[in-house]
Amino acid sequence: MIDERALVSRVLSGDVQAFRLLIKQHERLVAHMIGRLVKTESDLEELCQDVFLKVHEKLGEFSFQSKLSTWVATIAYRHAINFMRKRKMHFSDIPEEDTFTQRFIESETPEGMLEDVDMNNFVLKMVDELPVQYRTILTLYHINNMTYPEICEVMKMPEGTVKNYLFRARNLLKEKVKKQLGKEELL
Amino acid sequence: MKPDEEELQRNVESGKITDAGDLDVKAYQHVFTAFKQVPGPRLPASFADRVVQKILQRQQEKESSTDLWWLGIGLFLLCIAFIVAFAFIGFRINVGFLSAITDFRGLIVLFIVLMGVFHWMDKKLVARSDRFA
Repeated sequence: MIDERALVSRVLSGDVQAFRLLIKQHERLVAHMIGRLVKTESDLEELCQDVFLKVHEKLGEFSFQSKLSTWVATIAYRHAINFMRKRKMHFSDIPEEDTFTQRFIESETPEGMLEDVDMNNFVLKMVDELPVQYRTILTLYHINNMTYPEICEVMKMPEGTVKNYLFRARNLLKEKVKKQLGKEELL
Repeated sequence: MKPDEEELQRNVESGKITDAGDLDVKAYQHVFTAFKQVPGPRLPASFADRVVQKILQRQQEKESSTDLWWLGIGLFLLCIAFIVAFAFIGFRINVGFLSAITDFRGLIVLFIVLMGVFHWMDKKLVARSDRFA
């Protein structure tokens, strides 16, 4: 396994194979992050390509203050947010807790109306209904296995906020699953 | 954050509480299991190659635009050099030598026309036969 400094210096010296390796190492991270924010496969691939083009362009500015994966994730997050703003996609601050919680739990989705619900699929569909910040934190923490300080750096948020959002997001998902489980028991 | 709920989340996540009889615990278990089984990324296998291809393409475009800049700067400097040289040697345009060939005006016009025709034929016929070769 080639170390980050060696890999970055090889890319900076124009080694295309080294950049191919960098992409392979980080494409899962970027695809998961972007995949939670955009829905179509063409948008996903286009955005991921743009992220790696940006990474290649800005790699000279990477100062090894953080892990390379955190730096790449930061670029991916900013890029996704800009994309959503440009496309005027629904992107807003965290809504008022009480009203949002109530609305989220009570809302019916086509997946929830099925008799035989695949619970994993149901949870992931519900993640997509959450605000962008919640979705991103859940993805970084649970799927990309990032630590709190790393998530703070990617999202430029204080640690308390990240912890709070993660708690609230998981709590919302739990309530939704609980409601679904209750429905299944009745059937 | 509610401390009890927070602790419950932590305990279910770490596997300390496994009581599936409790609906809250069961629901959290479903949530954490779902994250462990997220399908892999949907990017095509050739994704890295495509990005590298784009980078090489961009580099080529950048290089050719740099070459154009250098060509422009070179031509500009050449013009400056000509102007300075002409100023130094006191060069004056003298059309005297043209008066000696005015009797062959027709021949010169024919030469120019023939050159034009040859170029046109070269473009139309030779270039086309290259394409079908």
